[in-house]
Amino acid sequence: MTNFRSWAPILWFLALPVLGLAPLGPVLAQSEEAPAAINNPNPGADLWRAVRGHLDSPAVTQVGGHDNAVLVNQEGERWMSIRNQKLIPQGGDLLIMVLLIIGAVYAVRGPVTLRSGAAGVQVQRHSVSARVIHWFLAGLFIILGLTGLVLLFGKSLLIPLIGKSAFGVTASASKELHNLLGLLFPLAIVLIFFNLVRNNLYEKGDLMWFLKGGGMIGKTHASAGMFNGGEKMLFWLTIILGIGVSVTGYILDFPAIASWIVSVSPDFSQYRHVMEFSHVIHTVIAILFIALVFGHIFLAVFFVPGTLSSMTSGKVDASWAEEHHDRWYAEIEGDGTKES
Amino acid sequence: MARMKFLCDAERCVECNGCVTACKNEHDIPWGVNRRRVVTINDGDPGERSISVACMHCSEAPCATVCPVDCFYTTNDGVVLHDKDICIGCGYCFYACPFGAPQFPDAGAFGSRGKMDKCTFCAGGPDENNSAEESRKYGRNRLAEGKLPLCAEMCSTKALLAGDGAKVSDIFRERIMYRGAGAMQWGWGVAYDKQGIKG
Ligand code: HEM
Ligand code: HEM
Ligand code: SF4
Ligand code: SF4
Repeated sequence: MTNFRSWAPILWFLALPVLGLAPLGPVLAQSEEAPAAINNPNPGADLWRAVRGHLDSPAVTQVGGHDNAVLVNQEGERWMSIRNQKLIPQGGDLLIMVLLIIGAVYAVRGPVTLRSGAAGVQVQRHSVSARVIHWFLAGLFIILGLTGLVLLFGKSLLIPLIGKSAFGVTASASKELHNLLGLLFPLAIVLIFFNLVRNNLYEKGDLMWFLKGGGMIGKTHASAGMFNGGEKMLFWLTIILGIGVSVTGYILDFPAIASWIVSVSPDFSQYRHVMEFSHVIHTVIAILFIALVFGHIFLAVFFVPGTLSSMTSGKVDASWAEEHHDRWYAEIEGDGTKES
Repeated sequence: MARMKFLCDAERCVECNGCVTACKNEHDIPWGVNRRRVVTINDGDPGERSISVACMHCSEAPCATVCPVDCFYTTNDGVVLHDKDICIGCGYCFYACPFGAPQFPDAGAFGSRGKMDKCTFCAGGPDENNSAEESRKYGRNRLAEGKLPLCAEMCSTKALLAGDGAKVSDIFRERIMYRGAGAMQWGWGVAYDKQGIKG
């Protein structure tokens, strides 16, 4: 599409001589043999084709700065339409849909209350360090997510509400916070990885957990260890998506990285193309990540009562442990780490 | 109302960078920022051409459609301007602009982008015409004084034309009639053994 449109003026230009020659048709038809193909290179056309972006001889400029020797940025239009026509409307739709689905699931299945009621006995679940690391990650994520969404949806959602000047201040603060706090995010990912990885290796029982839909399908409870199959999925997706936003975020934060990529990669010839590419990947991952975390918060706070305390006081009710994480509960009962 | 436009005649531009210098001087542009630049293709080879570029003041400006804070506006003269009080220096306008017009001074921690700066067609910004505020942020407002952009005014070969789009194209059309289509001299390659424009 984009390609054809940028070529359309050239095609028209090429068509003009043909249209102009139309009256000559009958004259040409009288000659015995077909006229030899005219090899008529047009140096002007070559030059302007080069300018349109397929420069084979390097252009130069006295003025420093990113991509300044390039006359026409051919990728800009594509990036613009991806951001304005895909990321913003479809990203918005996706997040709204996830919230609606969550609402529907909650309305139909309600909160998963304990079958045997609270035991009244608390067992230790997450250590202080695990909780500090979780909230460091979650705090950063919530700030980064909100500030990022301000940049993405603010123009359509906030400007009509608070006006351009007030939004300018909000957006400026969001950008600075996002760009600076983003630098810490990889640290949170590394910490949570080393803190919890040993409890998140997949085991035999996890497949069964998924087959039972986490306990939603069938009468019996889905068996789980320290973390169930769904939590392990959250853990690994957090690691993978976290690396994704961090790498693309660092590129967006430090243009020098983009310049370096241009110097070593045959796929990118311009600094801004690396930025455009990173921006799109960053935003796609960010939206999926936010959708995932919507689900996580919903499960931890609303859908499975009794879970939240594991990340606040560090303790959970013994029946919660027995019903939701039976294999883990059996372990701590056995080795006596259980306390009241 | 006039629709202001730039046109650079590549057959005339001699890469003197006078426009670049005039612009920098007229508007006191910060270090590292150039609102206008001259790009030379096939430098030093037969067929070398130079073109002076700055913001082209697009009709449906891509910069304006991606700006997350919506700080662009188009004047009655068709000039695309922006409000530096609102701009957050995100750089998106630079990614979208076909001509690489938006420029950024280094500001803040880790050399992060400052507020965007670009050619104003010598028409300032949203502040009061030629107020101290306006000149500090956007440079001089020559249009308000009834003058045209300085880069074109002082171009020694009159390669760079700026002004009412209709008049600019009249001047250019006249040139083409006089000298032939220049780079478009159809048939030269065949008739003169490719001794046409490429040398
Ligand atoms: C208000 C927000 C949040 C609340 C209330 C919350 C709550 C919880 C709770 C209660 C647990 C422990 C579950 C258990 O012990 O079985 C947990 C684990 C976890 N949370 Fe959050 N969380 C929040 C935000 C986040 C965010 C933003 C992230 C970021 C990506 C995140 C990532 C994780 C991870 C990776 C685990 C460990 C899961 C595993 O290792 O299998 N949480 N969360
Ligand atoms: C928790 C994860 C994150 C989320 C949800 C997130 C989300 C977003 C969103 C939605 C945007 C806006 C895109 C637009 O307006 O078109 C954005 C931009 C950006 N993000 Fe993130 N991001 C995250 C992490 C990071 C990290 C870890 C970094 C840096 C290391 C980072 C750096 C950036 C930069 C530099 C921009 C461009 C913003 C600007 O300069 O105006 N982000 N992010
Ligand atoms: S900044 Fe670029 S996109 Fe915006 S009006 Fe100027 S030339 Fe067009
Ligand atoms: S740098 Fe400024 S003008 Fe350009 S898109 Fe961002 S906020 Fe808008």
